[in-house]
Amino acid sequence: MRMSRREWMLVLAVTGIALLLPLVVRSNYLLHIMIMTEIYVILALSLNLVLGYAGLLSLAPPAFFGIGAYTSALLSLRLHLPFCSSLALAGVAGLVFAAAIGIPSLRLSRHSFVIVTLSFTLLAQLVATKWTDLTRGAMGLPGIPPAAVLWFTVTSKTLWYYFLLGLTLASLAFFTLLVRSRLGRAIQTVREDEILAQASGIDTWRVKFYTFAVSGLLGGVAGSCYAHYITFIDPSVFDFYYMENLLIMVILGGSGTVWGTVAGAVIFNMVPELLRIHPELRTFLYGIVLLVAVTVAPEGLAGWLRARRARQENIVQEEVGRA
Amino acid sequence: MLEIRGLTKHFLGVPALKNVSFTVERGEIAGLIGPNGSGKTTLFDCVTGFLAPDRGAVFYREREITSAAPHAIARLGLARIFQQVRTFPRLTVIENLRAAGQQHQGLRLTSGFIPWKRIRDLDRALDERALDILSALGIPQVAGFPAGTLSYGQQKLLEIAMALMSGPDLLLLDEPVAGVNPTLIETIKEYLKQLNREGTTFLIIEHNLQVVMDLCHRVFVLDSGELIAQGPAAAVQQNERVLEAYFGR
Repeated sequence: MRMSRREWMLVLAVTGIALLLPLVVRSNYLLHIMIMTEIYVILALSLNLVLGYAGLLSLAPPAFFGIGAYTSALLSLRLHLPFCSSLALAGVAGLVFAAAIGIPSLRLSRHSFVIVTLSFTLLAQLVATKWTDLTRGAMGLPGIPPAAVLWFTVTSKTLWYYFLLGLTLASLAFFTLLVRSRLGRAIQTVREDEILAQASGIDTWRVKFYTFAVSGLLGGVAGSCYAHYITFIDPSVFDFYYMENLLIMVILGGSGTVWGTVAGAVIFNMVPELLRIHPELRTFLYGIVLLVAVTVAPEGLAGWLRARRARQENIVQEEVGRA
Repeated sequence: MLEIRGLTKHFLGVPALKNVSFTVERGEIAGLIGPNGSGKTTLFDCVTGFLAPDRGAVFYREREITSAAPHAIARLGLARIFQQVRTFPRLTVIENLRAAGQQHQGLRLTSGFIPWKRIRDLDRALDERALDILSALGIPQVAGFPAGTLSYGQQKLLEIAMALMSGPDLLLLDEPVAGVNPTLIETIKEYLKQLNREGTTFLIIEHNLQVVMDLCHRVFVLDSGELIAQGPAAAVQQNERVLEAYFGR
């Protein structure tokens, strides 16, 4: 499946705006929100792959995020590994943990899978809190070195923005290729009808396993970026707060679409921050928004727009037919 | 082609199949009939790996496939369609057919996301095959529609088309014409006959006895999990035990 010309134009336009934004935005606070949005896009992709494409509700993305953050931080602080190695190994750690959790849990029913992934996130937070020799527990890990790529260090917020923009675009490109490939098609058949997929010769267990592993990889990468950007992490990186945000972004953006996820991540990072809504009130408002949205637009923003376009095309066709 | 030996299956102690044995020969259209609850679908599930039999064995082309994974059995060229219509509703018809035909090629985690030319060529070949099959079934115009938006009859045709995408040697059909209008039944019948002439072997579960008589060379009759009769369709229809099973004493 090739991208249409319209899609390419949209991609170029959004990339162009993203490239030019720091020239206009001078406030460090706004830049911070934009950087967090980029990290969230990668994390949202990780959830979208399992939830939107494979139809499996995984509550483990915060776990892979946290594991990536801790892996990267510890490798940099204790072993003084360069950033690129830490980043790569954080991704690998996410992938390995996802594989380890996936092997037993993906054989369970879909409901049990949800519970296992939730338990895993809670367990990961517990380990980060209690294993003080390694993680310093609730005191957290301060002084994580900033990212350094080849010979130059990513110090300013503007540089961070561009560095993460590159990484986000790379993740998006990888993700788009993946979901449009044969593997991506197989992943969607698991969501649509697993029994029919098996009868069609698709090894659904292996497909789910791959999906979950890639989701862990993306989560680990996002976590590593977060750790090196904020330079301090504590067990709150495993908080369920992230999961709520992610679910909002993916479900309201439109699960099972690439650009819906991007739109969801951008809107639900920017809007609450810009409106300066208190985080606790935000959780409450999110609940209401989610309830309204699943009633009015159960397939998210992307699905709502698609349905609207289909309706318009139908009207046009009817009018053409009448004329 | 397909040999079933002493297949036995219980559900919570209730017998669904009792020591069933029969053989489907290469190139024939075999029918499997019997009253509701006689174990026909359970037999299909045991053959295609969705259920593990308690006892007995299944051989496909002289190779034992008892309790193998469903996808592995499908890849050997033994396809099935289900009694209740199954499609991938949110994918378009052409995507459904691609998914049904792609099987295991290009599914590696490490390289699966790269749009290799080899894979694109394979996909193009799949598309051609898909359109051929859709045309033969008389529904080429629905290729771009999401499968979930098709009518029941069209979904039934799509299901058959999907089973054909991998070019199976043996096709198990579970009530292919149930709830389908008479004109469409003729289309399906003619198409199945044509495929059979081209070398596909069939085992068909069907309640529409007219269709069974028209299509099937031989018929197997199940009642309460037991094979009570087998033979040419016309002879089986006169068989006393069969009449008893259907109409009572």
